[in-house]
Amino acid sequence: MICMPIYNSDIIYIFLFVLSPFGEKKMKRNEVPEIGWLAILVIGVVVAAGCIGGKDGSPKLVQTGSSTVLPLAVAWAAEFDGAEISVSGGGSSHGINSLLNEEADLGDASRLMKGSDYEKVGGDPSLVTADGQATGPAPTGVWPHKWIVAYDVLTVVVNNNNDYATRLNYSQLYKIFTDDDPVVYWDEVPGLGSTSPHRKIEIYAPDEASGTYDYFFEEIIPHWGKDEQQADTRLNSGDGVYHPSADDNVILNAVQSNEYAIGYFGFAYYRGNTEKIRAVSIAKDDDYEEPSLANVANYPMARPLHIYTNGIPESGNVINDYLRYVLSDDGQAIVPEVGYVNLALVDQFLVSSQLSKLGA
Amino acid sequence: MDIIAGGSLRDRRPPIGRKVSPISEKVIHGLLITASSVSFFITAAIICTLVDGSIRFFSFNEVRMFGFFFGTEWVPSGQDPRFGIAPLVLGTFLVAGGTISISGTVGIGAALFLSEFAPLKLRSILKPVVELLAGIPSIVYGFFALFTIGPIVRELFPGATYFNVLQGVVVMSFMVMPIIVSISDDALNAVPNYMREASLALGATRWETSLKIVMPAASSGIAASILLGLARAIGETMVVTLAVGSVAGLHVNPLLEAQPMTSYIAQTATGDIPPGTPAAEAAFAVALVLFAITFVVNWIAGRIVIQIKKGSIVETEPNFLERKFRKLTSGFTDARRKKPYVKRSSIRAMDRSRRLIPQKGEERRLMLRHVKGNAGKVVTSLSLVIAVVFLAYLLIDVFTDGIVVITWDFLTAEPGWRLNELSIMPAIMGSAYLMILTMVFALPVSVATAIYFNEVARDTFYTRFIRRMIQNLAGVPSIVFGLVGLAIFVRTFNFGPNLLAGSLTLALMIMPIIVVSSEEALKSVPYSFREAARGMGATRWQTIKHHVIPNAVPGIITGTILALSRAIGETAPILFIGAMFSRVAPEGIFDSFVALPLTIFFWSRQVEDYRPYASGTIIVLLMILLTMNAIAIFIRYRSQKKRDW
Repeated sequence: MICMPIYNSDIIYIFLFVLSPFGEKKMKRNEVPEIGWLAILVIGVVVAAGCIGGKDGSPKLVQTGSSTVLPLAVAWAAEFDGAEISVSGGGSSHGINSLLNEEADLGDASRLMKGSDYEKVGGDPSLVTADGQATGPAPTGVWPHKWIVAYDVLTVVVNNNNDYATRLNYSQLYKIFTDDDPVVYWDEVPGLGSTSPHRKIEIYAPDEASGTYDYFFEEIIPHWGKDEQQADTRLNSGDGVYHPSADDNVILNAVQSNEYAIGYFGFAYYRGNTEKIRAVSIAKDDDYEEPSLANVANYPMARPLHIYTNGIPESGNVINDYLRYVLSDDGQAIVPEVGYVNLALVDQFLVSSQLSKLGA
Repeated sequence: MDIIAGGSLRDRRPPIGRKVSPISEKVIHGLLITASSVSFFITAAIICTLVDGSIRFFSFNEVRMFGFFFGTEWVPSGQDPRFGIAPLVLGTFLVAGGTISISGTVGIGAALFLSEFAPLKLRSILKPVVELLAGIPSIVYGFFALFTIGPIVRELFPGATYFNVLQGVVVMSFMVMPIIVSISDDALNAVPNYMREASLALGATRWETSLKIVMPAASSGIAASILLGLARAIGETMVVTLAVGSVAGLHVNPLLEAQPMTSYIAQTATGDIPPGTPAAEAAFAVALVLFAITFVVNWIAGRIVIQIKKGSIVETEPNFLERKFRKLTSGFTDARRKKPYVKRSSIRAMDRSRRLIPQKGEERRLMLRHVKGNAGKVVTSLSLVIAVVFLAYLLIDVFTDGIVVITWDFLTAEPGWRLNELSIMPAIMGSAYLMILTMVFALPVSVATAIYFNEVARDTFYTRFIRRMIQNLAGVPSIVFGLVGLAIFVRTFNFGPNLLAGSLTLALMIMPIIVVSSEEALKSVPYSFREAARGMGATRWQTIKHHVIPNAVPGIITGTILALSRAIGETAPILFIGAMFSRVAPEGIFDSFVALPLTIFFWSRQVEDYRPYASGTIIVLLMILLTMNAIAIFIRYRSQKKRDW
């Protein structure tokens, strides 16, 4: 591995120096052509500057996966001192897949690991349990272990001028968001009252590749993901009412500017924009709960966020230190700042049981 | 474009000296051939990757090949996935068609004004300004389309959805325009002056000359520029991903959302599409179709460009398409003699104006012709004005939004995650190292290829074939390179997503650009230098090494810097490879990296509070680009001043 230049301002001067000889033209017979010097210089600079004065190599970790967990992962990576972590998105499936292929050290997921994840790397799907753990390693040698790191409050939002759909239960959401005899106008939604207008509903929400989408429809469509799944999503009905986007900011803007729009995303996006859109209280049946971090224990659409690692890292391993930080008071204190729910609010036992696995 | 003309200097001039071939010469000759074959391998790699992925895609049970090509619904996920590519293709052509209609008319008008009517001083300012439009990275355009043009469109057209075709088209027209202006301007300038002089002498007005004599003579070049602009529009990724949409629909309404092919491919990288599913592998099949379309369009453009190059050695038999095209344009040019053919109506008009004492009706008609001419000049200059105004609007918008965030800490400190701790230091360093590595990988091979083609190669089928490969590579959409880089460097070679894979991918992308500009640089060295060296007894390689290359170095460096300035703004190729956040700059070539365009992309998708930071990053990126272009222009200027031949 060649030593690469590290961040220091000498590089800039050296680079300018490298560029300077270009006006000159040498026509002597035994001259080495400029391009030879240039090549030697650039490569020499690169190697020398890199090998001189090294920064003490902090251990490096690679983290990838769910775009829901991403802001949280970025915050922890920025605050954690014990390693330099590079974080990228790509989705829950990508995160688990990268972990299984040893391309990443930490795989973020807003859903549980499934048998299909093992299948994709040539493993036995039955090794994956219903709660997202694995009873045996994958053929690549990786044995993923699930860590719950935070909770997300999935928030359904409507336009600020919408005062008729401020409370929705699961059956109403079913009528709006699935293709099972779906409603087209707001006044067709059962139970909304007479103030609902005769206007078309517009849905702006995550696309089908998103873990948020997966979770939302798992909640409102019975037998989601199985053969006897009761209905398909409004997106797949083809009637163009559901406008998907992978970008929550876009969903926010769309719902904000469209009077008859409805959408959903993670609480963090609502929290940063409470004056722009209105949150809907949700009930499974008739017990309506407002979305909020404090209300997470009662709110029906609160989902866990996970990080998967290769087995349980041992004490002294930098990944162990990282997980301890994430589950510590300091790490968990950041969670509400980012817009998610820290574990203690949901279940204090989650923190202590996971910490004890790490040997804390 | 000249590389298509075929044949190196070896064929165009008589052979000089004896054929002295010691072993070292043969070795070097072999190395040069190997280097030039790299482009063949790259094209082969692209095709293999895409075909391999497509085979995987078609082997899924849910996918039917017939349904893919002729199906009308694109629903890649869900319970009942359908993979009919028609909506994606329609989306691409809707966007590209709209773009080329606007940028074609505006661009040709602007080119006409620049080459025929603009005073030289104005031209020397305006032409670089227009080319500046080409230098702005597409992610900046996408950002602008969604956040600035979007609200305007929605206000003017209440039926428009949040994502729509129109805002993408508006912005892309200005992105593609410089290509059309530049090449059309070259074509118009290449029309020899004696034609203009003859026409004016016969009494035509300047406007009539431009419209009826000069433009038809340059018609093949103008047509080629439109085709190249079309290819660019077809392959554009970031603007359509950010602004046009991600729902494929079979419609032609520009106010609605659509999903062009490139947008779907990008979605498989940035969305949460699970790898290994039909939806993810579909990206390869879509990319293959895209590659085929841009290949055909670029090929047609290439064939047309051959026509306009003077002294082209390769005169192939016109094939079917060429014969059709020549028939179409035969009204304007005499294909055999390659001279402009003056229309009879024009001659009549000139005749009429020849009478020395104008009659009453004559005077009026003459006045009318002048009025038409002035109107024409005004309209074409307006095209330029529109372009400049758009550029100014974009820059001012981004600048006012982002300037507040640019502090010393924003540029140099280690980033935190809170808004007031954000910093692009890792991104700046990541982009810098990416450029250095890309240059290290791309430069030697590209220059060797250029040397081979210009100095050493004979005009054989193989060399013409490789030249065509290089020309096609220049037109491949950047997202295809991203996909190929992922498949080959990250997965097959198992480098992982790091600087090495990223820079190799970018090197593949800019190689054709450096080859073309290096060849221009080598050509600019006078042949007499080589003759003199050989006359003194130097071998061929000694001549090249000691006499040709040193004189071509400024041109090569300029071309390299310009190619790198394009690479630094590219998002699509590194979308699959770069990371979204890192606290430190990369320290080794196997480290993950963050880059400026990726940061812009990432932040533009966060809550609105992040937008000024994205704008600030855009400002920094544009400043870096400006500096690189300035250095390149400076080198070119200095070398031309010092030149004594």
